[in-house]
Amino acid sequence: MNKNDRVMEIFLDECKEILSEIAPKLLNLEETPNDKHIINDIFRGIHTLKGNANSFGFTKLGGFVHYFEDLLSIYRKEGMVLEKNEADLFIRAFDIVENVFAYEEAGRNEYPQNYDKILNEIKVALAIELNPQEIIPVVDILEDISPYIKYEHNEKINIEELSDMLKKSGFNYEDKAIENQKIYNIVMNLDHDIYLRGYNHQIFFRLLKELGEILFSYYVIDENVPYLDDFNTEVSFVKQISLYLLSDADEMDIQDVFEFIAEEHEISITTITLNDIQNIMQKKETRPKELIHETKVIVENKSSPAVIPTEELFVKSTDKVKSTIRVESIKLDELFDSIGELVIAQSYISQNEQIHALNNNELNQYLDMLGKSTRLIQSKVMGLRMVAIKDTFLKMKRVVRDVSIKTGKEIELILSGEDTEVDKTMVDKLSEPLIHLLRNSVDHGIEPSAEQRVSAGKESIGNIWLSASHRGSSFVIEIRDDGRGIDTKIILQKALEKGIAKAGVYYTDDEIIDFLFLAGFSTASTITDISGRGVGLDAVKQSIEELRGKITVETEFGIGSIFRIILPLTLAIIDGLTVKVGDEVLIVPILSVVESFSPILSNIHHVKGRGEFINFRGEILPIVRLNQLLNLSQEIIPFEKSTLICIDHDRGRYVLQVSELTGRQQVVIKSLGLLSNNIKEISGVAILGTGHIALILNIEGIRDYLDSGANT
Amino acid sequence: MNLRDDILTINGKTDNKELSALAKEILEHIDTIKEIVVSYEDGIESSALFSLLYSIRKTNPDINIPFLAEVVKHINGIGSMSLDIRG
Amino acid sequence: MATLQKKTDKKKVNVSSAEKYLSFEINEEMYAIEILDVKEIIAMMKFTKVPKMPFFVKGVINLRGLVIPIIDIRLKFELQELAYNERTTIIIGIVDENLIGFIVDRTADVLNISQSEMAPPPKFGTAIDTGFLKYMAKTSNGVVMIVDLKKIFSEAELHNVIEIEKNKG
Repeated sequence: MNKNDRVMEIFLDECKEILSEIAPKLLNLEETPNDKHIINDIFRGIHTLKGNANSFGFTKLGGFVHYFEDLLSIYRKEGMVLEKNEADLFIRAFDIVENVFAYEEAGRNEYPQNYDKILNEIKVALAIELNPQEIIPVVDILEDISPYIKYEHNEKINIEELSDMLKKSGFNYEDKAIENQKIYNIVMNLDHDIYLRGYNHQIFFRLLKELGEILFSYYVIDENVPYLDDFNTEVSFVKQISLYLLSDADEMDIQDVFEFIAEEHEISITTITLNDIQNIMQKKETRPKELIHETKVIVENKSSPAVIPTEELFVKSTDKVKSTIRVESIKLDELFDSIGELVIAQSYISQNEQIHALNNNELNQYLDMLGKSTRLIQSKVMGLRMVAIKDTFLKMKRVVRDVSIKTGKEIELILSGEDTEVDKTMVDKLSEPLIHLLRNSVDHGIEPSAEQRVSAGKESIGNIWLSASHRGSSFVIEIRDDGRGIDTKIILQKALEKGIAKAGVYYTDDEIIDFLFLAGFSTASTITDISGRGVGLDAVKQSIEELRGKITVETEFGIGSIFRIILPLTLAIIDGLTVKVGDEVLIVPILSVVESFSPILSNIHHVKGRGEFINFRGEILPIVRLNQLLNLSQEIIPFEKSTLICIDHDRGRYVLQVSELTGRQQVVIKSLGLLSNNIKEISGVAILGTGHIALILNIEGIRDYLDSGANT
Repeated sequence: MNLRDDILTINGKTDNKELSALAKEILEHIDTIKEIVVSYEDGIESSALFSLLYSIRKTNPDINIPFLAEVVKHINGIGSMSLDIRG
Repeated sequence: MATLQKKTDKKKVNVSSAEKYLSFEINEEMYAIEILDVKEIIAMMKFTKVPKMPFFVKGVINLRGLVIPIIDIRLKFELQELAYNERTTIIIGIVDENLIGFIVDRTADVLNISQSEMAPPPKFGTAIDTGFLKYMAKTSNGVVMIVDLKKIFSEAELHNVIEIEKNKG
């Protein structure tokens, strides 16, 4: 890769990062359209994108974001109220930005669909906002709009006016006594209703005078000032005031003065040093732009942090951003593997009998230290894989929004626990099932119409709560809706039709709900675009199980439903119970263990053709002899010489027979790779402290084995 | 209203409310007023006065308004200033 | 499962030049594999049985944190199983970028065998299935059979075997 490619790659990465940061913010904006912080954040992102695009020759992208930025900058102003349809335009515009970026990245020399349409909409919006009086015909907008856009960028210094001012005020800029002072050019573009809002020029002239000397001011009256018969002082025709202040005050102090001015005025403050003036006056013909330090200031109302110059806005934003380093996840995995080896080596040393025999205090201390730091490194490295679920959740807002529009149901998605951390690999794999469940909630859960909701005594807007939390060593996601709930009668009816349920058999509600998760089951009477894509909840269940998690449903007819996804915190580590079966060491995930016990022989029954069962606290549970299940040995381990472990499972508890329990430890899960196919009873392996490899039992797979009726 | 010898003198301290009323009165005498003088020794209360002057000139361009003709004015409370009308 | 990117390109620039082969012994016969397919050679070590595997897959070993399946070539060749002893060796081979351990009776020298010494494997008359063989080489040390590791262990074959075992059971 040559240097340019690398730079390009960094550029593309940065763009992608910006895009991914903006996307959720736009959705937040839709909820709180007048949160100026969000608008500012989006503006900054788009601004950076524009700079990047232009410097890398992405002209299609640059051209588009230029206008988008202009539109955004209007709404950064306090008092500019963002309407829902405008927020919607932002979202559609952003879609174009994403698409056009993808095209640019792929080197496709064409414009994405709707590029012109959306661009035109932006231009129309710009024109309307900048000049509300004028009604701009949509057709001619492309050509007509440019002057209005330039209007936003006219903060360049007016050299003619400056020299006029110097002449008229008789100001001697070469006077040594004022060497350290600056001249501020303050330009106020005033609205017609300033008097109604209590504007009084005397107030800020007085305040400015406290800061320095007002050299000169230019009042510009609107030539549309009415004839006397229409004249009244409710409407102001003072269009612009441009004044020059000689002061040694900071620009911030100047800005503070304008806190007291009614909102909605754009105030620009340009700082001109005396040195600049000398230069300008000396070569008045050429405009030495580089000598002018300019800042553009938007006056916001008192409650918000007054006036923030653009540059500072950018500085602040970088300050806030946490410093991060991008690391390829494969490097993390490698690091993870190496740490695994370190842990093994460490525990090998600490368990080595020869070393113990030395009984050397100093050596033991160092071994302790080694042990501690090894565990510390291990947990830190594991921490690196943990990320907040936030980004995934925010993506879901978009999903719900889209489905809500498609179905015409008004939905509010309420997020909580977005900061809950979970293994990165898991986050990546959670999107699909979550999208599916949320679509399902909107499509099937929430009532078809607001009227139905209201008549059921609910608020007209449907609510869906998406929450994440840690429970012990599990990570739990809940999708709760206040919709119709699941009608088990309908589900059962469908299940009977599909031949999934058997007629004449009594099914509990839970059993009926489980039908939802069977392949090919779909309750929607018409196939909708939203959740009827031929992929059912069975796919969701499968992907959750692949993550070694489970999904449960709670529902109350008429009240709503909760879909709960329970996952291990990380895919890489489990809390394991180490057991011995004969000479082999196996690991049982502690999450599934109810308890272990020594069997009372009289409680064990052999049922012909169906295997062995035990009466455990009044429950008749099947027994799985692990050495037989796993073909570890032909030996039959007698129950009196064994320990039983009760395992919890949705489809019913069962009991494992092992020789003995040996301990409990956290283990790093490794895949069996090539061998992992078709061994449903084993979910992976772990390398123990001794260096020995132990198989990790798959609780789900063993339940499947029992359900297949093979345990006879 | 201080109208003497067809010369109207407007006090700079006239506030917005009074300016609105003044506009009506001036309109009644728009054909008799020859000149309008602004006395701004004590400053100018409201910038609406500037608008009013332009409105008068627009309504009757024959009225002489020296205030609008002065390129540079030194007004108490504002300092040196110039006034212009633009589109 | 450990995978390994092949660092060396195995292009045979000159067919007549001699190639290096690692020779090993099974049932007192000499076999060899291309040295480029060998990652390392280790002594037989403790392994963990993995249930429901084809009979020739003995289980998995821990090679410095990597979990690697091991295959007993004797069993694959349908020869008598031999108790592992101090001479038993595991050749860690690279097959389709996967690391696989091959258990052999013992390893011997690295041989230089030129293309001219190679002959197609005999159709019959060998102790093992000739399908596993690439060539037969007549060297000064005697006849050496060049084994095709891919034929001994391929992912597809492993899964086929598992399918067959499943169908049986």
